Amino acid sequence: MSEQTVDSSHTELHTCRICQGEGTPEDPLFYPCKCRGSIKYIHQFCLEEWLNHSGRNKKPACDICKTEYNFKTVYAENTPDRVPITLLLRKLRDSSVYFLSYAFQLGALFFGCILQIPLFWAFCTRFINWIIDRKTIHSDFFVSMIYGDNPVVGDPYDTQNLFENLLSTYVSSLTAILAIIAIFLFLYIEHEWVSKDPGFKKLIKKKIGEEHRSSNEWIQRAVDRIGQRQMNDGADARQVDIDRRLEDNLRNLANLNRIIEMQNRGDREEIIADAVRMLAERREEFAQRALQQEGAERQQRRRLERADRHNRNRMNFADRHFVNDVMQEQLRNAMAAAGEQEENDDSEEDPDFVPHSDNELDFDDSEPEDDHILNEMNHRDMDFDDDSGSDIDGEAFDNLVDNNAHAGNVVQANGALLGQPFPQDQNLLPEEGEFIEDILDQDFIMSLPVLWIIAAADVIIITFLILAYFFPFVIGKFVLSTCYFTVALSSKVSLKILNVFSLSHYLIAGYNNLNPSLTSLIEGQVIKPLLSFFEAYSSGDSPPSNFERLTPVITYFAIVHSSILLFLKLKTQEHSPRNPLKGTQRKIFVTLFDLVCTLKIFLILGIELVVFPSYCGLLLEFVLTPLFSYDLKLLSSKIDVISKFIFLRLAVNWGIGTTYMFFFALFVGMTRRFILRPGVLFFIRSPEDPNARIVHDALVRSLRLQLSRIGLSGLIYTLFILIGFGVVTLTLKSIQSEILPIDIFSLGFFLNLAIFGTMIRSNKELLTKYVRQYWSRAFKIASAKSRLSSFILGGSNPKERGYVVYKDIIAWLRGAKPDYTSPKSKIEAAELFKTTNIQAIFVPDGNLVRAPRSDTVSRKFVRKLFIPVTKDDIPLKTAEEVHRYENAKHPLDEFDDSEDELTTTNQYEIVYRPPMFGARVILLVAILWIFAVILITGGTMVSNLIGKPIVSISDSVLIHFLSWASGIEIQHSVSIFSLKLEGSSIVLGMAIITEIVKRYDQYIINKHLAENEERRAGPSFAQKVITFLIGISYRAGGAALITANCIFNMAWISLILSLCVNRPMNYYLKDSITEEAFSLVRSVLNLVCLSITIQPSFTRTKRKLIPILTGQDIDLNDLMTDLLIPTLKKLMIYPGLVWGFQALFAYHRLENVSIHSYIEIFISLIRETAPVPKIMILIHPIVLFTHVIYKIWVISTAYFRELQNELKKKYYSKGQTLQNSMENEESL
Amino acid sequence: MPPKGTAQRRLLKEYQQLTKDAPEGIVAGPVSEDNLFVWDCLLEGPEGTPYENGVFPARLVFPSDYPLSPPKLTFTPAILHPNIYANGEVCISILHPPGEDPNQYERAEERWSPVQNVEKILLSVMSMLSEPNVESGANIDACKLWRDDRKAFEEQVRSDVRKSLGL
Repeated sequence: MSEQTVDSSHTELHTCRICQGEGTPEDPLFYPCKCRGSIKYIHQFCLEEWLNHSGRNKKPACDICKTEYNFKTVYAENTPDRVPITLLLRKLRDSSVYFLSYAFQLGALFFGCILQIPLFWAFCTRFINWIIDRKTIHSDFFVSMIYGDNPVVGDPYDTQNLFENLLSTYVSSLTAILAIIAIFLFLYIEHEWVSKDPGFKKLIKKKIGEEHRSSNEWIQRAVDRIGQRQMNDGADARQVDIDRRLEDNLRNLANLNRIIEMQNRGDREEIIADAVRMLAERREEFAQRALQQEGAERQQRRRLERADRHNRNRMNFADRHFVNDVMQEQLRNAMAAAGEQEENDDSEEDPDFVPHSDNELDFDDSEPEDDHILNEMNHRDMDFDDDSGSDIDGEAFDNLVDNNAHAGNVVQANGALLGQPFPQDQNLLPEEGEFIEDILDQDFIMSLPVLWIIAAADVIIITFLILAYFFPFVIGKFVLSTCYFTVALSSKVSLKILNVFSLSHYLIAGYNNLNPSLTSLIEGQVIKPLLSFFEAYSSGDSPPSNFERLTPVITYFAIVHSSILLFLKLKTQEHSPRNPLKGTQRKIFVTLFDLVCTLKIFLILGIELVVFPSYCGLLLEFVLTPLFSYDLKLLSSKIDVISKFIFLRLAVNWGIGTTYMFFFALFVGMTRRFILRPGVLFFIRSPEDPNARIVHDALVRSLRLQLSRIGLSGLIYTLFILIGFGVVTLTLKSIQSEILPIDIFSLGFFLNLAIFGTMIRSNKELLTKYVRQYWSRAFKIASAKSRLSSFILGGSNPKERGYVVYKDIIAWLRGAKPDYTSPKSKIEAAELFKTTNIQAIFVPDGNLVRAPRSDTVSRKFVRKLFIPVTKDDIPLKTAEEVHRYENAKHPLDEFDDSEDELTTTNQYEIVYRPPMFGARVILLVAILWIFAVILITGGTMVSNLIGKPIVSISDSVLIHFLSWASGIEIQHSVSIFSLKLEGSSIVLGMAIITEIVKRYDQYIINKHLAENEERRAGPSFAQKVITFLIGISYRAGGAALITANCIFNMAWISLILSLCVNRPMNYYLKDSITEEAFSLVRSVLNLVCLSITIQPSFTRTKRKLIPILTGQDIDLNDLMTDLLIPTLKKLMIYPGLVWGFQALFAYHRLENVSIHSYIEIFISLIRETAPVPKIMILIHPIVLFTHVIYKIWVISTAYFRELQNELKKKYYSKGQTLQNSMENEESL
Repeated sequence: MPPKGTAQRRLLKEYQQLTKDAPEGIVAGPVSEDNLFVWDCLLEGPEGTPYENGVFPARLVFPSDYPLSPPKLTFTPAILHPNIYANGEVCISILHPPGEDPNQYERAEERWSPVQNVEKILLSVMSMLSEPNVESGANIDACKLWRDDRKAFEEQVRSDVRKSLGL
């Protein structure tokens, strides 16, 4: 303590930055942070106060310099080194009890919410189904309840059957619940969007007009508002106030009167009279309340005084149970002095204290509840007790004994004084279960009322099911059966009529054979099936199916929806902006309209965001399947897990589709930003476009238009995918080329992906740059070929504004150049060829059009564009023609929203448009497609060719190692040169290409730099040689280290892969799933394994990798910490991992084998699975054992140390002392 | 160290400090010796601003847990300024209680801390008078006027100043 105290000669000059007081020997000033000057010093108490006050959960830190405050616990002098064992045990017991109850609570939560809710849902649905079906699905009610629609195979009460059925029930109802929650959440969000959208208000305004309040209503509201204000203000109203307020109100009323006059409507006298009466009534009310209030105040003051007196009496016994007998004696002596002091204190406090309570009273004066106030008083009492009690104690002790103890920690200080170890003092030991209660009170999870949560969830489920399923079913069923009877009746009647008709006809005509056959046709094909359907339906003979259960529900909702639509339509017809809808009906209309709009947006967004990507994903899956297998089946159906669950499958498709669309959007964004002329892609909304308001557009446009647009883009996407991808993959498949399928399941694929993928990713910008260049060149070529340069890329190329006519084929072959400066018409050209010796002539065609200049052009403006103009922007057609053309091409939307577009950049430019524009665009897209194919397939195949030799060699080395290590022959064929695509090679090749591109880029940059700048004189030859040699040796050393590390890692990883993943999978799954799916699943598992092994190690060493490989200085220490130690650690961890897996595996496998001794299993395991059996049989268990022992030791010692510290802190600490900042110390 | 009286002691100290060497343009002190928690202040309008030549009375009300909580500063009468409410209350970050601002407008270190004192508060108010912060305005009308029509704003302030001086 003394070392923290600042020299007293210093402290007198300085003041605390909070209370501005000086330091005293009892309360020294500290300098805990880096602040200097007038705010350097602080009292510990002031700091604690401030920290309490600012009350943040963060670590306490200076709010100015952000230095964290450092507190050091000060222990009593007699603190034992070891906490007494009884204390330790008690603590252990309490914390285990706590742990158990925590676990129990968590378990209850888990079972109650996560398990129970879906099952409850399932059983509720089944119960309702039972009511609906009016019969059980299976033989017995309980079996039907448990199994639902699932088939019962074998004994329904068999444990295995029950478990499997429960699992599938659980999964399906969980999916259902989650889907419903997601849908409702989505609907809610959409509702928020819709109701906040300005378009919504406009639509309503358009349909039923604006809301105008009638004047009477308005006045009524105003009067109400005055009343309201009085009610609010009434709380603190005094008699005088009320009068003034009434005056105000009357003035308001006068204003009101004027307003009424202005409105000039209806019986205003009556209203005013009403209002005045109301005000008068209120006045009386206020007066009464004020009186009451005064009374209450007086009462409370009296009570306060009484409490004070009481308090003073009690002071003697304050904190009694904390202090033992001896101390109590001393305390009592001290109280005499303390009492005096307290009286002084009181007089000081009064002004502060009483007004404060006055404030308090203001809040609850309206209804003076005795109990409440009493409580309040008691509470205050307690506070008072605590505060001043301990204060006085503190001062008393300070006076009695010369001790430096802090006021707040008197109790501990007392204990120290007495020189008694605390645990012997029975009063001080914690009450039974004190720990637990403490923690129970604080913890959030423990405070959750599990039962209530479960009950609430179940009630919600029942309500939901009844409202959304049962009632709709009943009503829908009723409607349907009504329909059925009507149809049955009418069809029978019509049959009769038909018969009569045909009969009479037959009688009259006598010979017509057609009519009876027609009758029988109608009867047989239409009416009978209908009847039988309805009959079967209503009689319920057929087994209950979801179709039958859902038809009435859907009918019900369809009826509800269409009646809402009808209502809206009727109201819209009745009302118009001039004749607005008012009152409750308006509210109903707005609510229903909101609902309808939300559903519309839900439909559209659902299609756009879910259905459409899923569809794309399905198509992609179809066209990409040949990449991985030439099998007919789709990719995802091959994987057992995915094909089993339809939702998973949908999710996979959706994921693929969304990814595709994302990349497509990226591509479009790139072309838009870097390649195309701004304005070309005006029809695809750019993400930066402020007019792209998805919800607004979806809301405002008509449903049919939007659906047709979605359908159109669906068609385009379909073509893109089928042609763009399908042509390549399906061709390769149809010729059974050896290039495909890609072998991505080779040994090192994910390893290579992890390493080289990171490398490629780190050069993303470079690659992007070159890909962009490729594309911009591709666009140039493609648009030049299709003569669309001006339109697509901008600028003007006069050579493209027409075509070249050659004299004959020879001229064309010789590549004769026409004279572009003298264009001729076709007829002129023909003449010229005849008359002169000109070989080629340029014939212009096409025309100039106005085209938008920016992608954010307004939709309305676009309708005026694309008209042919002259070079000087004069339309070639008359305005009328133009107008007709506009309307024909762009019919107006149902709701013209262009007026509320946010920005409209209505600029256009004049570009050249060749004839046969559409065909040329298609040609352009086709050429671009060829470029894309070249880029992707070419890139892949070149990478493959480059990477293959290296990968094959390293693979074969690895496989040899593995087969040596495990003693299993592994089939492996090395093919250094083959076209067959292979994952690892592609990745490696790409990395190499990236590296080459990088070098090239550097070279280009250097060349440009060299042009501008003279090369500096290089170092001498000898220096160069030395640097080179040093570099080489560094590189060699580094590479050797890295290689060693890599080999070690790889060995371990492949061991784990083969032992923990591949072998068990071979064992369990070989029979049930196809080869590809098997290897795919295995690859995924391998990836998981790799990601927890190689990836961290790689990311750790990546930083070092580059300096090592480039020959910079290598820090051996760093290498140790980065490479060696993690590797060694792995050595310690992996045996456990391997053995855990193996034990599980072995348990299953050896279940039926008659090995009874666990030791036997153990040994056979080691013998069977160890890579180098003889060594491993010795080393493995030893390593594992030591590892486990070591870990247990480490963990338990750490735990006990922590426990000790905690207990010490609790029972022996005298509080905490601030630590001065070291940095500030130096400055002294 | 008992908490009672910290506020009084500190306020007394600050008062002594302020009387010893008061910064220019600022006069402040408790209304009465019995109650140190309410101060009257007089602020001179900073030069080169429309508030120039004005003398603005204001009232500082300290909470009982001062300096843990910031005091409240109210101009009596209110003056036209983007950061002063229509009732005269000053809205300035240094007077906002500590802790993170939920709206993220102000950083924690801009807000109240016991390190601040009356002198600093008044100095910040002076600088606020010369440089209003429209980003987090208190008086919307004043903000609008200040931003859209600076001339009219200044004219209005000047006329207010003149009126307050009885001219």
